[in-house]
Amino acid sequence: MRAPRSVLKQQFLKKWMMGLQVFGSAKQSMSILERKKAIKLSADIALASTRAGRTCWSRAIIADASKDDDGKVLVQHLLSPESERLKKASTGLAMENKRVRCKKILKRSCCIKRVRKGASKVVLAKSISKRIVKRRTQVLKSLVPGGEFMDDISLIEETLDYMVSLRAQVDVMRRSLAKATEVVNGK
Amino acid sequence: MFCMDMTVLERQQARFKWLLQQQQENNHVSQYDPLELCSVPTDLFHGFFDHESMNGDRIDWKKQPEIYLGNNDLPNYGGFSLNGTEFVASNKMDFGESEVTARPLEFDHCLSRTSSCQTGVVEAAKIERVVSVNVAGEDVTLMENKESNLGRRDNSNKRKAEFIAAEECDDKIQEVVEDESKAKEKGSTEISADSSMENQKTPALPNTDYIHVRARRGQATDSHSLSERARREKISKKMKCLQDLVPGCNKIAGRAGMLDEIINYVQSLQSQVEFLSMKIAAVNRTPDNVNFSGEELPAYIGSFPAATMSSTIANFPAALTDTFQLVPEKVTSSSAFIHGVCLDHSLDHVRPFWDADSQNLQNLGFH
Repeated sequence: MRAPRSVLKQQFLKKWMMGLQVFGSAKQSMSILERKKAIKLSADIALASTRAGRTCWSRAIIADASKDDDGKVLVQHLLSPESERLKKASTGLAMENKRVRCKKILKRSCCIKRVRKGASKVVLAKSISKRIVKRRTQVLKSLVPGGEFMDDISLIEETLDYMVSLRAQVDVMRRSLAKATEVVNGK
Repeated sequence: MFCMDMTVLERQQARFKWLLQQQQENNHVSQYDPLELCSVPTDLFHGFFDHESMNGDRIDWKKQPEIYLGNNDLPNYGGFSLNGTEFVASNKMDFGESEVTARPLEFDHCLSRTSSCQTGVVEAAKIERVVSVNVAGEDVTLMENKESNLGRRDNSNKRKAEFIAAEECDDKIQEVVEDESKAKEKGSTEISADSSMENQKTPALPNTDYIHVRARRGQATDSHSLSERARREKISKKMKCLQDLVPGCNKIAGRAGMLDEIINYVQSLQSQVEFLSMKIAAVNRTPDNVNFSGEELPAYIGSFPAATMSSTIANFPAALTDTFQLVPEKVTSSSAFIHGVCLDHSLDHVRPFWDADSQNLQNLGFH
């Protein structure tokens, strides 16, 4: 299954390089932290652009990135043909997320707590495991970008996609680092 | 007046068969329009409708024609399996009585006599329309239920048929649920079953859509638990996909454990990205770049191999293009380094790059 994964990686690399180019001359004057931030930012936006618009997490990343200037420039550069559409999508996403959040708050406030009577062991174990699962889904939601606004099922789908993309990103970055250090050492 | 002498049983079977035929005809229609379906038969049968002494039955059929679908000699009527948007009625009907099949004409009349055909057709249409409503998630459950029920078809369990009409769901879909394992009624017990059914069904079933869902044996059959079960099956299906991705999850069975592994994995991937980007930033340091502060570096120096901190550090972008063997080895200013041309060519070279380095970088592989 080499082909689709390497296609993704190539796309990511290309976009990443484009993003780095944006920083271009400023690179000399940046501190190491700033550089790292720039690298990471362009990597993230490049990753999101490979899934442009289709997945929730990519839209969330783009929406977050568009909030500050650096990100905006990058987004425009990397996603120029689709940037308009994506901007609309991401602003729409923000609205939708607010709505979802309000609905969830409402739901929770209206939810009646069920009284646990003298429950049997099985029922108790079930409720405990449910709580554990709930807690962990909360954690997962905080990890996946844009995850707080998804329901369980789409959360799992998004996690799936996000994991694949993250793996590709890590792969590309590691290889380019290795190559760069090789070249550097060679000199 | 052909069907005056037909028993209730035969009439039911006839009606059901007619419904089945309708469904089969409309099986491949992508647009399920109940109105269309309604119009045809009502035209045909409108004139035939006349009063019947069996009012009770008629009322039953009006409201819940499905009742009879499982409780007589048609035990093999499983739920409808919703397969995506395809609607496949369970065709494995043992009618048993050959006379039923041999009198197609009488079906129509019977149907007209026993109930308003409109309802019947609407039911059939609803059953199909159900598919177009978004219960795509139900398909797994229903398929599984159907399969499990088919497996039990040959049981000689004779328990009463219980028909529970569920409450409306949020999207105003009514679920009519049968427990098929109990659906082996015959002859004399029919009528008693009918009455028990009557007690259990909800009084008003207006023209809404129906989802026919099969409950497994011994499980609750109200709509909430059914939809809950469907949701759970969906989730576990997706978790299985995740299991293949996350390394080391083959042995873990529960959802909680799986989630834990997933969380750890995602966290580790994200931290790897951070780390790698910091490393790359460090590689990029030029010797004359005096902007790095003394405080930042020592924190990171320890984590980097010594070789990376060599003083002859080229620009990172330039280094990369060198690795791609596109740009001659001169340290150009980073702004000029990446030409569009390079990028275009880089794609051609990237693949050999990956392949060539795959061996070298296997040991770097993360597992």
